[in-house]
Amino acid sequence: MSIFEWLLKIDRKYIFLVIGVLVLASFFIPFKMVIKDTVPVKNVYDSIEKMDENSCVLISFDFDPSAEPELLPMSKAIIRQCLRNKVKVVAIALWPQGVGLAENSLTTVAEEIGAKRGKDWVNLGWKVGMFQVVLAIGEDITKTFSKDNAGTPTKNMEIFEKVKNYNDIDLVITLAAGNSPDTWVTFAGTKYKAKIAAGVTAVMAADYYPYLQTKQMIGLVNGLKGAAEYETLVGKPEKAVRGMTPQSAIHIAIILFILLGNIGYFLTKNKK
Amino acid sequence: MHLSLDPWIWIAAILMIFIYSFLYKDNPFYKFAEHLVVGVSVGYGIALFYQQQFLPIVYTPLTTDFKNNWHLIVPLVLSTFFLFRFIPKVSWMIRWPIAITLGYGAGIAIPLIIQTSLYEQIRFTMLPLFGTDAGMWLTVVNLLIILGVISCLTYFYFSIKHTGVIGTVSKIGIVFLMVGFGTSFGNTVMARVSLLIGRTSFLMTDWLGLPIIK
Repeated sequence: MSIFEWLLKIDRKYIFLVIGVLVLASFFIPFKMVIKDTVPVKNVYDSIEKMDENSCVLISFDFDPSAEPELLPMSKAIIRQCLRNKVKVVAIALWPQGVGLAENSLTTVAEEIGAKRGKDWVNLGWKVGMFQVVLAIGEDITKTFSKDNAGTPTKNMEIFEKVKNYNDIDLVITLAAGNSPDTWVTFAGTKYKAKIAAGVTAVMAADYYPYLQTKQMIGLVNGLKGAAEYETLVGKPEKAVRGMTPQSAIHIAIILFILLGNIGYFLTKNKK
Repeated sequence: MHLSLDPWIWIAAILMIFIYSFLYKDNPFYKFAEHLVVGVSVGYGIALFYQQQFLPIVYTPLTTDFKNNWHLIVPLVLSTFFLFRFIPKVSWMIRWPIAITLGYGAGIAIPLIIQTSLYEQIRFTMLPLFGTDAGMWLTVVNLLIILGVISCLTYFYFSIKHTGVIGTVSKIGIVFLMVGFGTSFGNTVMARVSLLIGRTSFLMTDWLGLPIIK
């Protein structure tokens, strides 16, 4: 049996083992990746940087804990940039599990910056219905969410003094692990002409590039790599940037596996 | 090394190891964690729905100000029809709420979806090939987009036999499709690896408190 025949029959447990060891080892190797920003990520960053004080960004937490490693660092970096620039943050969730994740990101960053709930940021929680919620915000956000996640009535909140609907929201960012970017583009972008950006898990990123080309989205933050770019742009490298070394190590390993697998396949195919 | 003393971190770490044990083979620990996550998710969803939706939207308005909110009874009654599917004699009544939901949903969604996913996408494939300020590079990019759209559409056009020119164009379409699949696969690998990195980072920092490189 040649080495390639052996490789083609190798138990996949060994591949998992190699990947596991590589991830563990990468956390202890003092090697920093150079993170260069890409145009879709920079567009989101620039659009917030250009906003005046007291502008408003709506962030929709449309994911659950399974997408946390990719989307939570992204959310923290975006919220940090907004609150630092005194841009108001209104958070909602189209997925029920997104409420707790939003609260985690908002309270962590707000504490660090000294931003106040109800004045600089608010977590409105979850509302049932996907596109119905998106459409209802176009009419009146405080009627759609009469109370915030903590049970405080939204009607008299300082943050909503000048914010009623999409006309007063400068950017909508959907952090999504499902197809909610389609919902936002269709029902907020097309109907109400709201400016949309998305932060998505890498699995689904390829599906949303057409919206960039058509300018239906102003920017796209793609997976952990996008989050690392955003953390770098904001100037506070955290979990996403730390994840780039193991990510690169595993990518090299997987490329090698694919090459070896293909070479082995073609060599053994000729033998057969 | 500073081992965590938080019991919740320990529970999360142990359950995570149970789930990853599936990589070796299926086992009772994995099954336990799998059933637990399904149960907790459903329970959380029901509790959240009851607390944040049913109570403030239906129950409280009906019990505190019935005169101004009596109309809420109509959707409430209609929604209970969904449960009639368990009673064979009246199971046909489930069609009413479904018909209303479908009619309402389709009426709102169809025009907007067509505008978003069809008109706008078609509009942006009508691209200038020459005479742009951006020069040669934009011409190449626009040409690639136009070629990609035409060749992929040709590949999925089955009313003509794929021979001759049509065959050649559809083969070019396959190349574009393969590039698309490759991009999706690459992104999928990146996403799955990101999840592993996130969980490994949790185990090493939050649970075991190991001094990893920052």
